[in-house]
Amino acid sequence: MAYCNEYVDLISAAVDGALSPSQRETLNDHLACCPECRALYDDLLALHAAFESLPPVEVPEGLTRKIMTAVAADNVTPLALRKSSAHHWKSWAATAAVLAVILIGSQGLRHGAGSSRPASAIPQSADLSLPETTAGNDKSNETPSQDATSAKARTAGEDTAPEDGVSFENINPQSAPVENAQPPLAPEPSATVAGANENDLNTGSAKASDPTTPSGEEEPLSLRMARSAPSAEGESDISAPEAMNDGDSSVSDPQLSIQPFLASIPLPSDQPETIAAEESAEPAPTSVLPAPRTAEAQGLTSLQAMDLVVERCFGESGYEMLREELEGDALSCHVSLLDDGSFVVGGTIVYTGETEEFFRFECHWDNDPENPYHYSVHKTEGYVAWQGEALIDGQFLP
Amino acid sequence: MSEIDLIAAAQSGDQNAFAQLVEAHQGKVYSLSYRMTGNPDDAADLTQEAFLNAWRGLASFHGQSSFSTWLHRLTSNVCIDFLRREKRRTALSMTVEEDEEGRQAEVPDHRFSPEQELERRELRRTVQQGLAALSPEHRRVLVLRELEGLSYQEIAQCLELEEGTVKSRIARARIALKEYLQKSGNFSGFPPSK
Repeated sequence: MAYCNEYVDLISAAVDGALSPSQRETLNDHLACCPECRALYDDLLALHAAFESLPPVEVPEGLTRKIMTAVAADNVTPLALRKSSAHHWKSWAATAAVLAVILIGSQGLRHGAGSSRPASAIPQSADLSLPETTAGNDKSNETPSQDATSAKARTAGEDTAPEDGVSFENINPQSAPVENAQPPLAPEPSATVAGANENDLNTGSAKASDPTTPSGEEEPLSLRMARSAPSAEGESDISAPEAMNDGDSSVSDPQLSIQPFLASIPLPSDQPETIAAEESAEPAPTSVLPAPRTAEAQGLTSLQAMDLVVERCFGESGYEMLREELEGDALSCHVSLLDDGSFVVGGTIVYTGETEEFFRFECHWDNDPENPYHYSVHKTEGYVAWQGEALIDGQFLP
Repeated sequence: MSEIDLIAAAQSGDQNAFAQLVEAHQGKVYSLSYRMTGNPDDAADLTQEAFLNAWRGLASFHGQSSFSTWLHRLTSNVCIDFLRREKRRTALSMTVEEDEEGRQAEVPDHRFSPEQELERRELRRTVQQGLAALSPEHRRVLVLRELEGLSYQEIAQCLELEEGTVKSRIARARIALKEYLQKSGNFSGFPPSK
């Protein structure tokens, strides 16, 4: 059966009635002059109808009971409940933080240069963060930033919960706290919120004396934190982090002293396994403190970004990929999927431009070249976002 | 209680609320599991596993997709993992034949004559055999589309793929099914649908 590979997807979609009028017309024109494809179409239609012969599946007796017994016996509490145990950490940390304030604060007073010393611990890390802050921050990032700046006026550390087993040995006003910080990973928005709390508070403490500083060059840290905390896909629902609501006394000077302390506390994650997730290079990590990262910290190259898009479009399939870079100036490559040797489908990824924050690519599927898929890759966060089928509504969604 | 309220209650640990969600959705979870494994006992175990995963991971459900889609995703992942572990593909076709007659009550459909009824039964067995012979990934996407009736978009959400990928995968799965059936002599062109 030598049907035409490039029409297979259309034929199958026709069976499901999922073609647009113009696609249907294209297919009909082809079927009119290709008997092999016509035969395939008939076969697939027959197969589709044959599925109707399967009766609906009946659920066996007592299944609900069996399930609920297992649920009741389950020792693992739902994550929602687990979160509340995190509050215990928070209050414990708050106590410890207060103690630390007293200790470090008194040290600072003794040395007479209290506010300047800790501040010097930060700028190194702040420098790291500077190149990453872009002017293109969305509004959604400014809100948490302002929350951060006002939050720091409150008792710092109240919402900082250390990871299990983390001791406070890391407290050292002198040391650059950077390397001790572990970014809380938040693949789930719930953890992101918690992460955002911590992030904002940590960075917030950096400028205790200036509660109303808008996100600007004065606060590269908090800006970066706030920007990274709500992750990629425009989740701007992290507006009023729960932690911020416990309003409080604003302590000014001692707060500056406890910056390094706070910074050195590895940020918590409600899901410890997200740390592992970071190591497997999940897209959209929410980095916190400007830990001295590798080249990633400087941003992806366009080639690396293209790799991500290739992975996104074709990696899912589980099939072997054959990748060929295309000639010319344009950054592009064609990927073929090898499907038991009997069927090759693929697409072409093309770089189409970039903004300050994103690389833009298009993927032209071999079987549907008129409907390219648009992708954006965040230069520093490294996530890939799909912009939907551009041609359907004629608009490119930013 | 609306489903949203039930979900919220369950997220706070209310097991009764979760039990209601189970009642409401176990049909489709079981159906998917059964179609994936061909075995009612495995299907029941996988249904339990899927709902346990749902219970444990409830806090991570935020309504970006429907609860049903989310459950479908959990279920299909559980099934795929199971199939990869067990690698029971060849054993499946046997199980399907044996169990099909016994478990699914054969209520005669009076729309069809006895001959047609027999034909339908043959057809059914053929399709099930074919499904059993497919790779788990192909089987999953066909079951979701043909038996669970999900749209391309729902499948895309469920499997976290692009719609274009879903489209291609379904096409390839159908062709794989067709070619298997042709090779095994079971497909000389099904009777056209009426």
